[in-house]
Amino acid sequence: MPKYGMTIDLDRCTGCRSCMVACKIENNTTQNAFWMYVFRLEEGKFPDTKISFLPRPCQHCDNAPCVKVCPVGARYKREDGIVATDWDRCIGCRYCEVACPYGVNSFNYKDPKKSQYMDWEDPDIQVATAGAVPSWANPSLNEKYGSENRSIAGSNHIKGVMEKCTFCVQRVEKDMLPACVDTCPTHALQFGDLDDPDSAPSVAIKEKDGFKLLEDRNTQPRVTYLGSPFGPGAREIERPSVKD
Amino acid sequence: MTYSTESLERATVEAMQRFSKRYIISFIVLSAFVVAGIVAYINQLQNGLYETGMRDRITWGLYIVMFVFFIGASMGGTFVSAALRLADMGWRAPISRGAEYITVSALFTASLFIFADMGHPERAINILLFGRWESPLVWDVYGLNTYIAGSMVYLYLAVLPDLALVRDRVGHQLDPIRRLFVIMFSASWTGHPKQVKALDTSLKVMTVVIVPVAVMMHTVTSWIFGMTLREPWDSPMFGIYFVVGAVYSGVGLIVVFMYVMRRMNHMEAFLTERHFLNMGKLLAGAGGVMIFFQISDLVTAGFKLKGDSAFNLYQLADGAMAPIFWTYIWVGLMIPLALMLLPWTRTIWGVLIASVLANVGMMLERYFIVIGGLRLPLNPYHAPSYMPTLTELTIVLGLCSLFILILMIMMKLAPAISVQEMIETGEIEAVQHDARRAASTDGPEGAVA
Repeated sequence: MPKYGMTIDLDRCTGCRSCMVACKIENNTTQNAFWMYVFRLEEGKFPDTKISFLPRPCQHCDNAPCVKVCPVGARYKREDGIVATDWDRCIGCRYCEVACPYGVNSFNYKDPKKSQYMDWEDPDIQVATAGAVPSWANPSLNEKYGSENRSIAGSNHIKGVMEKCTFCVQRVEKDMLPACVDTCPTHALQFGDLDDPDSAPSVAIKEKDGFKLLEDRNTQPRVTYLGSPFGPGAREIERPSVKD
Repeated sequence: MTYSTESLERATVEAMQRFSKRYIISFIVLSAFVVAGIVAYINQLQNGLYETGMRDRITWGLYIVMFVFFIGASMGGTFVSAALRLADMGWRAPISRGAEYITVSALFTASLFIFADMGHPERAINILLFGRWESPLVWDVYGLNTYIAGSMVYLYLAVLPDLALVRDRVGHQLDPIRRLFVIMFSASWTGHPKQVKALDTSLKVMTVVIVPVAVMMHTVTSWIFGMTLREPWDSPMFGIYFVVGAVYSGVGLIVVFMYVMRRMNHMEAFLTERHFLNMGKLLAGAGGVMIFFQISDLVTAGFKLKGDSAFNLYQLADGAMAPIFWTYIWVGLMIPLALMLLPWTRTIWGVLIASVLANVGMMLERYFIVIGGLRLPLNPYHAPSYMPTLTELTIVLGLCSLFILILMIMMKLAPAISVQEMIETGEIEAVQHDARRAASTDGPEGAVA
């Protein structure tokens, strides 16, 4: 059984945010839900400022705080290291979101069909889409995955459940890379089996010093950041809309 | 006028039968609020939690604040009734019935707040089907159910002889529903010495059982927060802090209930100033411990000002939570304590005002604990904000009204003062003494505990 992990080379990241777009297209996340989010940070005072980028997917922790607090086992750790969310079982208590120190969870506060970027039922838009399958109807997102045979892939299924990055389980199980990794133009993101010493992330970790986010919390993330970390005074440049 | 057992029995039973205009009007108004809450809840079910002010990052809001508050409010009942019974304090006798009512009603209301907060309330059964013992939420669910069951058994044991009293005195005059209730639940109580002994033993056992269960419940509720990696919650003191806070607001709520019940049912003779002042002492004691905890928490964290706790202290001192925090410190803790310390405010009115302020203060405290903890940005992003919406406020109003409605209904099902306990503890003579002294000095004096 492989143990999946990811490396993110901060020196290579250009902050283009293609990974965010790829994630949105692959997993069909709703407005305001970003399973992969690239923080754009700045430090220092003008004119001595430094800009840095921090792509942040779910860290798929080995000692995952969200898994420990889930009252019904909807959030669980798979054998291959992926932390998955069963949207068939989730009761919507949002305890995982409170427990997660990385803020990677997003809750379906309203019917996901109502928070699409466009209204697929609008006749004017249907002229343009010409009978194409709406992204939420992507059949691979509705399949059940893993030996547990549970509904864990993709976003946008029902309101009132918690969702987050799945490491694109629907792609990984078909031996494909997660959408964000596949899209990254600078190979800043690497994904693979961390138990295999020749896999892309294992090689990347050997070549470069790395760190993990909030290491002092002992969550043991499966995502390793390579290169120089952002400074303690780093602040977010833009303020993402969390209101709507 | 003398207050014999006979007059107490007559007064309590009469109070059960009388439906004053004020009672009926408040019943209708509160029911209207409950209906409004139900309408808002149906709307929330249809449109999702989008109707609330909660969003990602601040994902728990007013519902959880009120859940914690009502769990806390339930503590006072058990504490006053069971702990004082263990300590053999006679003056608890006219208070304990109302206190037990508050426990049951507050726990019931608290559990409904959880349902209001859930994204999928119809899946609540999953907690029983797939419950994981690692989750503090599962501890809380089982703890809450144990606590509700225990308090109901405890209340029932205490109320049993009084139900039999109602059955024997006015059973035939009651309306059919209440007559059936009284006959069914008074079982075959006749006051036979064997029955009295059995009941006494069971009550003693339940008293010993219910106190640790109550302490466990408040600790587990604090652990829902304490088990996460968020700095202001990440404290071993959190459990005991919640327990004392619960005693503080619970005692306050009982005083408010005592005052209203005394006015509504004309129980001035049996609930004297002495009872209020003793409750005031408990309130001041719990308030003093709260101030002590607050100071030790603020000083140890504020002296070092490390990382996340610095953010929390700044938001409390002069940030987004400052108005709530300082209102809590001054109005919720300092003024009630001052009211109880100053001799000229040590009156029924003083205790009542201190109790109301204590409850307002504790509600604010729950608010800045829950919302303040969630505001803490653990990643380099800006601290989010939260404002409850009309839907949330309506549901909260509806559930608070339900809490009062349950109390009002329970008050008409059984005597609101435990006749049995009044006789057993000799408190019936003590209130006669109070009355004589009030008559001789032309004005009540300080408390005799």
